[in-house]
Amino acid sequence: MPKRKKKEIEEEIGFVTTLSVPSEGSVGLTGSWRIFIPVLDEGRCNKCLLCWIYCPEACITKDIVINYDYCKGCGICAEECPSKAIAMRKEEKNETG
Amino acid sequence: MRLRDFPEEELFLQGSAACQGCPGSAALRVAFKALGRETILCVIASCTSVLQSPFPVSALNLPTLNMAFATGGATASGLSAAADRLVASGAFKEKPTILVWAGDGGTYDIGIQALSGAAERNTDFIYVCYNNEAYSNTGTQRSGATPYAAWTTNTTKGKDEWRKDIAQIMVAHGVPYVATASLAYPTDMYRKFAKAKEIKGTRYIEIQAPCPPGWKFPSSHTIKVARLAVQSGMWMLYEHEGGKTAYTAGTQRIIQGQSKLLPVEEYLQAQGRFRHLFSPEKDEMRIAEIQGRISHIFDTLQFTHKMKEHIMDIELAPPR
Repeated sequence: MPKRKKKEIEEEIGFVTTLSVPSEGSVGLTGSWRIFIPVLDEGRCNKCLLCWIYCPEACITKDIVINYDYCKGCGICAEECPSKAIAMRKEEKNETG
Repeated sequence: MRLRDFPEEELFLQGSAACQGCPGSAALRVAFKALGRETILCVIASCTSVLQSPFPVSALNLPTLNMAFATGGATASGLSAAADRLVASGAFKEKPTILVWAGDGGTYDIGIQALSGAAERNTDFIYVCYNNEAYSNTGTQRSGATPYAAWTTNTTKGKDEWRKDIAQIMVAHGVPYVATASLAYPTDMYRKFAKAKEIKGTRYIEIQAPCPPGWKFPSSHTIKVARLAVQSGMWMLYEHEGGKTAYTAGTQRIIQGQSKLLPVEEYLQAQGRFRHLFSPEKDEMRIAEIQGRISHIFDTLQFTHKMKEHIMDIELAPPR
């Protein structure tokens, strides 16, 4: 669900609205807030799904794929991973676009 | 319910305005997974009003109403009555779950009159208080939920009063279901929400929500601090139903003697809001006061548990 502009929404529903519409990235690409980036070592991951359920941003899927567009780099996934499969390291500029 | 059986659908969308490591959004995710799409959400002024993001978009993929601090119970009563009418007229097939999502400021201090009224009428809705123990949305002011000796911008040397126990106030209202939950135990939280969904009448669930900027700890420690709170006895997990209280998850394990009660110092030291208890010099008296309260509660509970087991043994013993 990409970010939608108010005009598009109003054209779609046919009238001017004061209602908000659900949308991903409602405050933009929040990945730009990040200083540290979570990096997954797939070999160590035992798919316990703790990172998936603990991620406050819903940025990790059930298949353990991290969405770097919106990951704010809070580090909960790395802290809580029992097999230490996720490491936080300092992100280089424009590393993930 | 195991983690792998949790629904995959996310009703809390990525890219919201929540802080890094926000406990509110983590709690919303689990609650939405348990309650499903047939839910109407009422958000009382709180951090959730911020993390749902600015107009014209919203990070909450559910019908949402925003309302003033004091009106949670009243709005839910209106919504619940309207939903009942729509079901009676055939417009709705089933009644949706009415969920009120409030912070501790909107529950403990400002919203309690409407909540108490709704509970007294046994209005059919779920009231959730995500308790970050301060008015974190407006910069961490003291609330009725702030624990003893905690720093806030109003209590710079630590709060002098003990927090009030609103879950027990709700138990005293005689509502059908009251539960407390912790972010560190998601399966326990999910089970409580799924159970609450099936019950009719007023249900109250309170989630402890450790707030990284308000409690002054790194954003990666949100879950760790939530777990320490349960393990040290500062937050207790239970559900109250049919006049009986059952302790769950981490709290149950401590009472049954399967795990040890951690010293409260470990929990206090994990956060900056209790730093004045340890530096420049250690405030042994106040730490002992907190530990004393917790130890007293757990000693009583452990004693009661042992007595119950003993009584069961006598009852089950074959007659001689």
